[in-house]
Amino acid sequence: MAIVMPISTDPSLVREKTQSRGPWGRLPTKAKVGAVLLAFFILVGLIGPLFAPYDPSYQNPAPNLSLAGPSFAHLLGTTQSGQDVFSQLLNGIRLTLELAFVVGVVATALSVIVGVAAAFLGGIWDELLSLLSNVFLVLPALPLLVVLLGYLKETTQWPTIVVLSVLGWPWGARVIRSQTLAIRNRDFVAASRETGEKGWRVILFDIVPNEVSLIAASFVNTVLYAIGASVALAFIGVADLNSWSLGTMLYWAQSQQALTLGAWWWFIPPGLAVALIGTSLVLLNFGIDEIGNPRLRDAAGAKRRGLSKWSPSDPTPVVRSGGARAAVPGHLGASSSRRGNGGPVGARPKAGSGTGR
Amino acid sequence: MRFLVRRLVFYAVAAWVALTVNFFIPRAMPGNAVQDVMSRFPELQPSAEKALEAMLGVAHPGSMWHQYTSYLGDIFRFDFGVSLSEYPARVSTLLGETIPWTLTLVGTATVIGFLVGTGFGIVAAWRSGGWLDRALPALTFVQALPYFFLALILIEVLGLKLKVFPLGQGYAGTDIPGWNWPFISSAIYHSVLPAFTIVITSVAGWMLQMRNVMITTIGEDYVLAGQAKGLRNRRVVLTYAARNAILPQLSGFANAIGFVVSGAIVMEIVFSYPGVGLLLVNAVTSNDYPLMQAIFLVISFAVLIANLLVDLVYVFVDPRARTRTA
Amino acid sequence: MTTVDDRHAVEPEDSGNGLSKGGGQSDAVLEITDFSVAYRTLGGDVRAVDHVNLFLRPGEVVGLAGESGSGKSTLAYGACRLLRAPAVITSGSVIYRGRRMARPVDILSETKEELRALRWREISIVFQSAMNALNPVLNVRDQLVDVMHAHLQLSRSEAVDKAAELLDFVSIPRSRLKSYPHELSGGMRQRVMIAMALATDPEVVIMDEPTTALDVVVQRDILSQVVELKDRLGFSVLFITHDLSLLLELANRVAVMYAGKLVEVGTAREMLHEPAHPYTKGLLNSFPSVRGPRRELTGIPGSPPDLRSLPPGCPFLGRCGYGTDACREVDMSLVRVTTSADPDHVTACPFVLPGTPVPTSPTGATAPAQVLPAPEGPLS
Repeated sequence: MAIVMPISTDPSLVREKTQSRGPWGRLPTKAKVGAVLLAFFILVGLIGPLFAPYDPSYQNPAPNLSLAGPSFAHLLGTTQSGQDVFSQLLNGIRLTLELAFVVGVVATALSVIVGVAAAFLGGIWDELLSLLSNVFLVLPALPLLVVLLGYLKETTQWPTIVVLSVLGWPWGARVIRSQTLAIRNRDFVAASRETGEKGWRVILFDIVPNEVSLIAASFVNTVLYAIGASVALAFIGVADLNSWSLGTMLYWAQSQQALTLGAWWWFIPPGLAVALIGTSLVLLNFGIDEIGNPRLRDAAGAKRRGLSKWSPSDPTPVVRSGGARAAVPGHLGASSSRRGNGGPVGARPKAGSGTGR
Repeated sequence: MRFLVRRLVFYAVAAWVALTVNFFIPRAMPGNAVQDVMSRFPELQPSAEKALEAMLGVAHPGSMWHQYTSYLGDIFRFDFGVSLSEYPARVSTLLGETIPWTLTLVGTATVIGFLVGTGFGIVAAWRSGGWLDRALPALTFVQALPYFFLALILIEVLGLKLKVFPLGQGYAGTDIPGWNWPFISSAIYHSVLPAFTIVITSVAGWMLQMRNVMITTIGEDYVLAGQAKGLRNRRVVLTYAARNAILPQLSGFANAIGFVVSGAIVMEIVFSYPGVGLLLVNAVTSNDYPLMQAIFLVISFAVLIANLLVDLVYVFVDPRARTRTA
Repeated sequence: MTTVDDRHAVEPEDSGNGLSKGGGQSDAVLEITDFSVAYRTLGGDVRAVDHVNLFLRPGEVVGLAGESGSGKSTLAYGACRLLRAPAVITSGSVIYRGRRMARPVDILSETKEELRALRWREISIVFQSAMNALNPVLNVRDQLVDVMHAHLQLSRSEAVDKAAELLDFVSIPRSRLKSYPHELSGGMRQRVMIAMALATDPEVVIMDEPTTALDVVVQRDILSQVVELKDRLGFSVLFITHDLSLLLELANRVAVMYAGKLVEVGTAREMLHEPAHPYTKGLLNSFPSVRGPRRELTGIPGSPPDLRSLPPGCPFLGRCGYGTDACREVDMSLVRVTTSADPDHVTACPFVLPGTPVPTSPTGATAPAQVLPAPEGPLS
């Protein structure tokens, strides 16, 4: 998996009111596409395996069904040992998503708790927690995971989940901490504290609602990271090879030389699934980013409004439109020439002012 | 320079944590794991067996603290023990053979990807509506592809079908490693596909990220002031906008180094590239624990050093960091 | 350094609007005519500036006052074409007649390159927040020098020398050339901005609320420095602010904007003693004066209108103590204030004069017609 996207953490862009409850139409396009795509995969993950025509582990011994291409009986063909790829895919999506979401929830919860605590408690606690987060951040996760899982072979997905969660929270914690620090110093929080609100109430009702987009983006990022890590681990061969996650499928496909033998149907679908899920998450993330960052929204909006090829260095355009779309119906004085009316102020019509030369 | 000193202290702490975690891993494993390991090597030479026992903490020669200190001492002398799978080769020798490969390939490709991606990001942000903007959705997709997926496809297309590039390995089997031209040219030839894979998958990510940061920066007053000053466009884009936008981008790079390394490991598997990643995977499949743990340490340290280098660049670019304390 | 002798000498006391001279202001260094700016939104155009006429004479200080959202900054930036999408200029002309220009220039029809050469060299800007407007990664010297390199033919050492002189002008120690913005105090940063604005000897300096973020003492200090520099170097100033009290002492003429339109224009003395438009009266009522009789402060009830849905007629109607139904027919053109000593004092309200008392009606506030205590005189 490629680089994880950080999100805008500029405290000055935190808005005072949460406006996340807009109608579906107001969401940025990216978020909509990402959400729909993700929803599709979640749906597949939830009910897909029920529709799987075969048990994914069932090895059909028929020789003509080894590495067979897509057919009516096997929508995505078969593996080297006669297993149905389509069933494996359905199960794989569920397992991978399951793992990723659990890790996402746990790690995000941890990061919110640690991040808010560090910012709120301050002092020595802040220093310690920050140090802890930074250390975990800087140590590379995959090699550690490889070593750990190397010792713990032949087990279920749980060790992977636990370790990924433990290694996944620091990133979000750091971001949430800096945002909480910024909000904490804002006036409306000080006001709450002045009126005697208890600490936890301040946290729950003032601070957290303003960080919703940040937490959401953090969650999405963590899920992304978990998918990438688990697929990579499985591909290397350290994860549980008995379960059918997308990574395991890829492992077997690779070790059986699927691509070289031309069995694209074994290799491409799981990879594509991973990529599409990943894409949907990234799109969702960009969308959330746009919600939180007005400048990105403007940039996206500019595209929608058809201001093509615009560069910030372009001077303000001059559009002398007689028929500009008026947002002010019935407003008098919209014409360009003005003549004063004789009124009680005893006016002379204003002498022609500055007709250009 | 207070900033740098604080960072150095931090990296020292992180390094110590890595060392300690590494020390405790085998000892923290459930009992049967250790037995399991031991039982996989029934015919070890006595010295190797002893070393393994010492590493796993089975034989208890001395207290935990004593083990710990002698462990640290070994590490500082670059004595990582003996490899089990490549017995009797020393782990440090194996590392010495593979590290240069990974460093040159992964290091160069990552930096190239970062620079190219960042450059495109700057351009994409400055001209909305250009072709780069239209490519964004596609780039998002490319960026989400697992490294190895793209690698395998590239091998398939460029290696097998078109036969333009070799299928793997670091160099042709017929060449002898050394400072001779056939070897070096072969090495370069073999590194093109892997490097290409890394660059392609990472460029999209860096570009998207830089574009977003640039858009935010372009909205800042000082960029408008730069334009109001009637400065040349290039100066406004580079010295006013990009030079400020690069700061969060650099931080992102530092954060991503760990992921980059992970991706590179997987990529080496696919290409059978003789680097540290391949060594790690082979160690895993053959249960070569001393080697596995040593590689973990080496990778961790490499990441720490890379982070330190990025910090140095950051301080150079951002005058505010020179006086900051954190 | 150019001196005042080179410029057309203008006595502050004598400067009228020049409107009565008939014809245009051919002596105006910057002449904004019938200028409109709109923001293109999905819901239609928002008229941020609506057919505004304003001009600036050499050596003059013109104050542009109004609440946030009145369009004053949009007017100034728009005139320089510095507004970004979705802003568009929908009408008017902006003629610049600097001494260095061979002929008058319409900024609205300049090419990108011509505009670039004109910016700062002829018209410079002091931004509102120096912390945000100074590039954080460049030191003071580089920020002063780069604009000189863009416009003047100076060698590196000449430019650095000039930068040092500029700092002298604004009373900042020369050692600060090497400092970065974050190492300077707020007042110092603002003064660096002023020095930067003068680096290329512009003829017009636009000051966008330059002292809003500073405390009162520093504010006073900086403003007196500005006036002194103006007299010495002879540039004109367009001073944008929401604080009318500053303009009392600083400006020759004042223009007040509301909801994108001009509501009153006149000499500072006349307008601020005898304001004609109800909005101006309201603004002046909002400021306590340190001396003079105690009076009740009123301020203006309500808040600025939403520019997307302005009602017909005068936009101030909802908040105006004098408002009647007739106000819905007003077309906001500027008419002379007949009772004013300034022949070019104009207002957009055809019903109210400086002395008009507020009707005691349900809509009205009970502010008495205002006569301010005599000011201490202009700072210069």
